[in-house]
Amino acid sequence: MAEKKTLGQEFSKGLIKENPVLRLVLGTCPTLAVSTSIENAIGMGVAATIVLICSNIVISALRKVIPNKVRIPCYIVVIAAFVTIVQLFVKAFAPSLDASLGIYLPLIVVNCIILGRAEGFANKNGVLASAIDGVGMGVGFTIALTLMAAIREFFGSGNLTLKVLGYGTTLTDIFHLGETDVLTAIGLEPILIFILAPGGFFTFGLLMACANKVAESKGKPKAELKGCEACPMAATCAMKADGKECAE
Amino acid sequence: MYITGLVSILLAAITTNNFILSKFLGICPFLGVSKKTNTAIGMSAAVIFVMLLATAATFPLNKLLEAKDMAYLETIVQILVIAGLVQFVEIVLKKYIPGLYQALGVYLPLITTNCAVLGVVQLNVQNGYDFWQSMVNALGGGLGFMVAMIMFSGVRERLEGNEYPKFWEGLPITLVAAAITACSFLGFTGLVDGIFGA
Amino acid sequence: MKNMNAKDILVPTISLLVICLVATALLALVNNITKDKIAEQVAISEAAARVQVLPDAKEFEEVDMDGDKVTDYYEGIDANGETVGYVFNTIGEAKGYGGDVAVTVGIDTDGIITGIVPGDISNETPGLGQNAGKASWQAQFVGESGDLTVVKSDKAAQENTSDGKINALTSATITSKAVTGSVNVALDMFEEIGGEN
Repeated sequence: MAEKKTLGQEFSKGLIKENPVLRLVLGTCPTLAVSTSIENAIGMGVAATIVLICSNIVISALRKVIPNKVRIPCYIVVIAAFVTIVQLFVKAFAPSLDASLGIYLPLIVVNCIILGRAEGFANKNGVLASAIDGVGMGVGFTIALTLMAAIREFFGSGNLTLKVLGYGTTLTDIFHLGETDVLTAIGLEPILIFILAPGGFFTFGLLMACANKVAESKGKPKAELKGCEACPMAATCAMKADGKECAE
Repeated sequence: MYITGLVSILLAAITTNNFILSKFLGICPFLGVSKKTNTAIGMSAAVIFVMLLATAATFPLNKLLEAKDMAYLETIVQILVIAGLVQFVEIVLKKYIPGLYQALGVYLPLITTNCAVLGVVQLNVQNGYDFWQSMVNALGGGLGFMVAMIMFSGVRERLEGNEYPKFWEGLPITLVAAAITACSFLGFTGLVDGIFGA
Repeated sequence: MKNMNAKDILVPTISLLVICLVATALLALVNNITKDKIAEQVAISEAAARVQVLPDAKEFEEVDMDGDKVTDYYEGIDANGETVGYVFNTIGEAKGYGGDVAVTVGIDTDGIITGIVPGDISNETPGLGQNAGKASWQAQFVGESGDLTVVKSDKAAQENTSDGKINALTSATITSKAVTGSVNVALDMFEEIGGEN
């Protein structure tokens, strides 16, 4: 860390300036996969945030104990343990969320945001700072995910599920439309492809372009796949040593 | 009938359920290592290799955990096995098959955190596949990964050097290209069903 | 030098081992806490599905059986203690986009479907196949009997609920066929056990 940040800054950087999805380009798989409805996006975001906070705290607390050589396997075990705990609780208290997230819930284990923050932040910083970093990054992830989901769901199905864990309402319910959707009601048709896989890529590209535009107006560089720098495996990666292209 | 089932799993994993373009597994290498066709091929070959090994290694362990009523340990065991396996393969290749190591070695460490590998193992458990179905699913998933990577690297080579609106340069335009590539895979819809009937 | 080596190997191994042990112990603990709750949730959702597909029944009695495609079935009994129908949990041969599609089917004593609820359809395509979860589509099955076939964009089939035809979900024929296949398994099973009563 070149400069010492206050705790407030540690939190707020994750929201916009270092937004994990739109600026650091981490966690792209879940971002694309579960952003088909706001309900799923929020569920995924909250689950990942909890794992991120817990693993950041534990890894930061153990950072002086864990031998450098085996740190990556140790981080993975810690992260996998928290993911399973979250999964068990979700199964017990929100079974419908478990069903709709499917394999993407256990796949939080390999979400690069979490391993990336363990390797890039928690193992160099104190417990409190790491916890705050986890909250900020987690919230930033959730915001980006929800934004993606809002665009895809609205254009793709003409509806918005404004729900958390099954509580809340939907856009069609607000307007009392029954089984028709909002877009059909105003004489348009939902653009189905937004919900399908290509729409995920397209919406992500669109948001990325917007993020670049905003970044530029603030004089910041464009978001790029940082490749070796951002990649949590960088230290062990032979590509870097060989000087071959990684993600350039 | 059993063999037909295997073939349909294979075809589905390559086309309609393509890991990258329809299940969004392994997006990082898809965007990161697809700039040149050569690297795309190397990376996918390593992924196929590790997917098959990981499936073979985790299958008996999953069964054991299920039998002992400890299915909750599956995720942690799977990821540890994958991480250990990748390291092990790297060491063995380096020592005994340096030629193959030259070709695949550099990609191996990246694969530990590749969600496609953990994804295929999880999918096998979720779908209740037996050993050969799991292996075929892993092979299909890996081949599908390769097809998508190679196709996309071709698309990206074409993207190079063109002019785009300023804010679309780099990642955004790459993602739009990925969207169009994914559209082409939508064309496979109904393929497996059509061939094998329902 | 030798000492260094031993330490170099031992310390990382032991720390990794300790972390693994602690993680496993923690997971075992959490599993113990959540195990009953998860089983309860599964039971609740299965019971809710049974009531939904066979609303006339007040009680459900599980019938012992061995089956491949029919995972289990229940006899529905009304307030007077009479059998009003059966509930089958089935998995058909046709697969959806994300593998098997399990369906809970309610059939009355005359062999007419009283309701269906697909199980886990989270692997089907969102916005297309997942529409199988909508009540408006499931309603077509009610009143059907015999052997059902899936047809495409046939409004008449949607409205006519005793023609043996199921109108496929828009752009989701595969999911529709998977669900219908599972329903047919239940209808076959009903034929099989029908003779006993």
